Amino acid sequence: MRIREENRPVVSRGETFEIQVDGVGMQATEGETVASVMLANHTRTLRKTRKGAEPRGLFCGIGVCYDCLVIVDGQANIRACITRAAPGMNVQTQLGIGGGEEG
Amino acid sequence: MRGVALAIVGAGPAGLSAAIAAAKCGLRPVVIDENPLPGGQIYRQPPREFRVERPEALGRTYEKGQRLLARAYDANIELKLGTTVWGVFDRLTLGLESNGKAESLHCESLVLATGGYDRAIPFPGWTLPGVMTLGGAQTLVKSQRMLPGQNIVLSGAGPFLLPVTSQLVEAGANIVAVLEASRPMDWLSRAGSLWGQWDRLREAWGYVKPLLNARVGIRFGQAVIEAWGKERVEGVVIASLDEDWRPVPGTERTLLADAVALGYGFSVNTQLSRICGCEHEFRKGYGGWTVKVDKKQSTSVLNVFAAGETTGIGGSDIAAAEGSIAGYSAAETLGMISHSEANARRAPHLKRLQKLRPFARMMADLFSPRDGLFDITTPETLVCRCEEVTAEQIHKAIDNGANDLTGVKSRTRVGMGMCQGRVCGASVATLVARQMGREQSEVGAFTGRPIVKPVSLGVLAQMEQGKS
Repeated sequence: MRIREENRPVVSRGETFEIQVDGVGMQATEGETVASVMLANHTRTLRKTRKGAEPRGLFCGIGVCYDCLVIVDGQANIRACITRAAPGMNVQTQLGIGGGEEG
Repeated sequence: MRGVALAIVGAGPAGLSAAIAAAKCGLRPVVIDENPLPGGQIYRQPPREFRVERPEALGRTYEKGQRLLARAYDANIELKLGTTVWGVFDRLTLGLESNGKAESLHCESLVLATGGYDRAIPFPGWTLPGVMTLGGAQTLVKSQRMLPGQNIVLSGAGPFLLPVTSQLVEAGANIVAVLEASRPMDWLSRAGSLWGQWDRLREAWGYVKPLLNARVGIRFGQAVIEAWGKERVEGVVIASLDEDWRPVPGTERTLLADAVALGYGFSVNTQLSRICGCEHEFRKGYGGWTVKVDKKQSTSVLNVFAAGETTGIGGSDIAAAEGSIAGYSAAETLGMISHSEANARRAPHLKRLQKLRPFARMMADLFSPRDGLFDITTPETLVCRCEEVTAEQIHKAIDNGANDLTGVKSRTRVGMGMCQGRVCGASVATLVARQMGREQSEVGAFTGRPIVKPVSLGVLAQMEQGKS
């Protein structure tokens, strides 16, 4: 969830916009990563694994572990933790390494 | 192909300090970093789209980072951000990728300042969404202004637990428990090394104060040994640890939590240095396999330098000093300054390193995971998150004749997934060493491959067609 900063804000967020995640609209603010937007919208599972179909979410958070892979505008294996959300972006949670979709 | 005199990989304290030093000598270095903003993990910034209203609330580290960044922006440096180095060819040609576009960059001299990342020790349930590294939790708070959950358990060893807990508390999270594997009794024998480290102690106090105010206690000699939940983490099992950090049977307790942050020190990024052919050395407590450097930060490969955590975990001040030295050494190699001038410029930084290193040594001794803790990796625990390989499969591979990391890799696919063994490398090495009764330094490391980060076929095709 986003840190509440109503009283004496440490940081003010930018403009808000919407992205689609598995067909559901999610509110994002400028500068947020795809993983943050999903977390703020109570979605922690970013992909399912290939063998065990186990849910995976944000782990290292800095682009090292490749566990937070999602499909962005049709391109698979995009790291949700270091990819910025953009207006109109279409995000899909993925199975394994890009299974089903392209890539 | 574009050619430059000096390329620096990594825009953290080491890389930026190297660039600033080299720029002072008349070079215009190119600094490449994957992240959209410079600063590395330690000085990670909120995105430009966020407006920082009260910088003082972001802490001393933020302000220190701002000063370093200001110096870097003032200097004659080219920053190539949002750019991944996915390979190195012929030691001095880098394969770059940015927004799906490929480029190659040839340099006459190279500084590797690729940094490190948290080390987690696998246990049942550590792959559940909501279980993350301390660094991951910290990045959410300090850069994205997000909380990883509402009820958080932190578990690990070493000084990094403090700032992360403190930042979570200040952001309004409910801290369920903070578990530190070591005990204050262990520290007494080393207390002497703290004399003179006033900056460090002041920094630590700055982190402890908010915890005291919020009445967050630290439980020493305990660790998370299991996480459970259906689609996401719902709780953890914690246990007391013995002298050797082995969980003590019968001491298990359950805590409810929707986020767990873990960190037992750090591993270092050595993929690029391996491809370059640099010699590495195993340094327990300093991140395992690290790049071997001399006092000029030269690696064993001509014209390739390394600085910061990749040469051994030491913190941002050591990284900055090593970076400066590497920058001057590169400038010397490129004929920008004479040998004597280079020596004179390196001298104050060498002196600073002498002062800082005893503290790093103490941290390495005190907080390097002790052997018993690896018992939390039960046979059914997934060790390789990418290829979904369990500890049991690794044990079987060793029973079947694998006697080093390469052997285990070829039998189980461990380390062959998207992260290229970055996350599981240290764990697999520990499992192999323990089962064979050998030292970790004797079981090898995953070998570097020319492509260190996944890159799409389209990008490779661009390179092939010479479009770069």
